[in-house]
Amino acid sequence: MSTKGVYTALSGALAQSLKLDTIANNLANVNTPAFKRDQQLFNEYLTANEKPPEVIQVPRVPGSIDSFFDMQGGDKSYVDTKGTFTDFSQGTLKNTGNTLDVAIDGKGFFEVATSSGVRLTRAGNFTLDGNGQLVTKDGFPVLKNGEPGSDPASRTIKFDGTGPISIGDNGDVTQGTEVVGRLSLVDVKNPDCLNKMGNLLYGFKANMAPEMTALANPSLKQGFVEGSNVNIVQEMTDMIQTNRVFESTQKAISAYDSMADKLVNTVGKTN
Amino acid sequence: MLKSLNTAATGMAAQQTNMDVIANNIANVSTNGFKKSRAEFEDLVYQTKKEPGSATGMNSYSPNGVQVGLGVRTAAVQKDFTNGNAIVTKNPLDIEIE
Repeated sequence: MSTKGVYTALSGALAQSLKLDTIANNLANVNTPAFKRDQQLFNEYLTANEKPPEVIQVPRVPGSIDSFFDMQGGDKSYVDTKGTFTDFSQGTLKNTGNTLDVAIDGKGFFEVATSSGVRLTRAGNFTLDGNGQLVTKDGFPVLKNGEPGSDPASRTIKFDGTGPISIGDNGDVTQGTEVVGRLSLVDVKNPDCLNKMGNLLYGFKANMAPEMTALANPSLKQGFVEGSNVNIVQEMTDMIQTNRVFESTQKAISAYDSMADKLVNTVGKTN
Repeated sequence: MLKSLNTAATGMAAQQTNMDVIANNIANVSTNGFKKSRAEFEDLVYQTKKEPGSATGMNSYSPNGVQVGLGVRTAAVQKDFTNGNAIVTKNPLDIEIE
């Protein structure tokens, strides 16, 4: 008889707490343009995973402390976070009437130059800065197509205010009748390699090589912004469920606590 | 647990700003030449709990990593400069820009 299971219950409570953090972030960003919801996945963690593979053997004897490794640590399992996955499904397009709002309909990302390198974003609510440059709402320049490997600084989009700005469905940026360039849109074949950086930007994970190509058939909508793909009702339901599971793990913890109480104060009574 | 409360609070603060902007739009519904505004949001930084590709045991690793977002903030309040409706006033000194 032992009460080590309290740690298993605790790991479950911690997992649910992390899930709740993620749901809270999804809900907080329900009105953020082009926000993509996150999900946390969990897996079972066996303590045997801490041992080299050669230690693990097929069980031959009934479970006991001595045959711990033979059980592959199965008597001591925890919940562990497996990873954060981003749901890249399309958000709803909302008409704004602003000429500098561009929504991507379908696949693709805009390229944005930041001080730490080129980043990707789907938020097309652009604006002009003091120099007439097309920038994101954080002031990062939006890039147009250029020679492969060319300096991002040479690919910024600049307007001199001589004509109305128009952005076509294929990303062609025109000012009056003059063509300024084509918005650079990239398609990421393995979106799992993208890392959220905040400010609606995506960076790249160090351990995965991004498979990026120029988007073949971009479909842009000028005068629209893409909303977030967070479904409030689903998040609320997930939140209730997470809360309930958290409560049950708490119940399990207090059950172990009362068991320990019995062990110490009743079973262990000497007189 | 407390982090999720803070995250949710940033969401409430953002919606509060949104309400303020919308309230000002409604209050100015009869103001001549008024241009409506729209609050725009962006996500805050993400806290990395597990680096992508980090080991989770002797023979397992986390390819995706674990990240938790910390909420939302107002990025900008954007004005919408589309033309309003023309109203006939019969006043010779009233001029509308088309």
